[in-house]
Amino acid sequence: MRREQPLRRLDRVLRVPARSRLLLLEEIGADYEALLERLAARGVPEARARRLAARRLLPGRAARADLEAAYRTPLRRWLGQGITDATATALLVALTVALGSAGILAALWWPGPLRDAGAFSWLLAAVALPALANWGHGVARIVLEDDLRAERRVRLLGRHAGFAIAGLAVASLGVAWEALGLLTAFSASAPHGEALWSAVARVSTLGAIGLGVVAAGLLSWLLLVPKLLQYERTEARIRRVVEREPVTEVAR
Amino acid sequence: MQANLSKRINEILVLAVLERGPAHGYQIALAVEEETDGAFTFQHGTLYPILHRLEAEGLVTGAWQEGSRRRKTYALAPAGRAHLEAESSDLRAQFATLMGFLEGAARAA
Repeated sequence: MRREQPLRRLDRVLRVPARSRLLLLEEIGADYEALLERLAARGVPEARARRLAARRLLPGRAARADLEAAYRTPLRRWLGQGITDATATALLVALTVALGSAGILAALWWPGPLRDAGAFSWLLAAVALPALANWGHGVARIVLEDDLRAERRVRLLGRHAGFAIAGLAVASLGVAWEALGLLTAFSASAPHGEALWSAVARVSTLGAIGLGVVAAGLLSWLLLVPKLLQYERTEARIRRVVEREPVTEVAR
Repeated sequence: MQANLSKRINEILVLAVLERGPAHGYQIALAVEEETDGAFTFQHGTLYPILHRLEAEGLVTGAWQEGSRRRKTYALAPAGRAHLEAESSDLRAQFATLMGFLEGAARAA
């Protein structure tokens, strides 16, 4: 058994904020190595020394639960035991989507070019809402757990990029469709001033909404970037701790 | 009550070890186990929640030693020393009462 295996396992199962996870792993890892050295110096065979050190120092289920309770985020602490992480995440996502939906619906129902932009603006709303849910899910994880592990970060950003591209594609399609309609009308007969204005407004509004969706996607992503970078740096340090070569050569 | 007594004993054991001087977590675990002949042990990492709780309550202070490998050392804080003294005398009185009760019960039997 190599030293990093139990630490890696601990890293995988310990659900505390990323920074606390790093500090706990550093502390326990250093203690674990020092105890191995001490036991090896006493002539304890390496395999037995590892078992003894692991049994003493590596947190079991009860100790992990105590540590997780001690290092809860303020929101998690405030929510208490009654609400699970999954429920709290679902509630935060639902709140984000509800607020976003209210904003989008208000914009689409309000008299003006947005309402006149037609079916494509509704399609854009259909892309924006799941994008908002995805973003809300990331934010919920950050405020609830102050942690977003690598695989989750990749999934979050992958979906975020996918929704931004889908938004741009729908908007482009809408602009092309409306522009085609405008050109067709032009070729048939000179359109009235009001009809021309209405068609131009629809094309430009769709273009603006598409750009707006992409800009909102970028801005919302930028809001998460500092935290995501912090998690990235913390995880790099955790990797160095758990992947450290064993220093118990004296036991061999 | 049992959990509370166990928690108090664990805390007092940690504070008593630190009263002699700063120590790393594993040193505290070893000292408790060896000096009580294994009567008290910190198994499965139960030491760390205790240390971190005591640190959060200001009874011990934790400091990182930089080097090729960062290590955390704990020391008894002044509040911890006062807490140790108060808890020691309180537990002594409780155990004296308990022993008196058990001896009385044994005599009656």
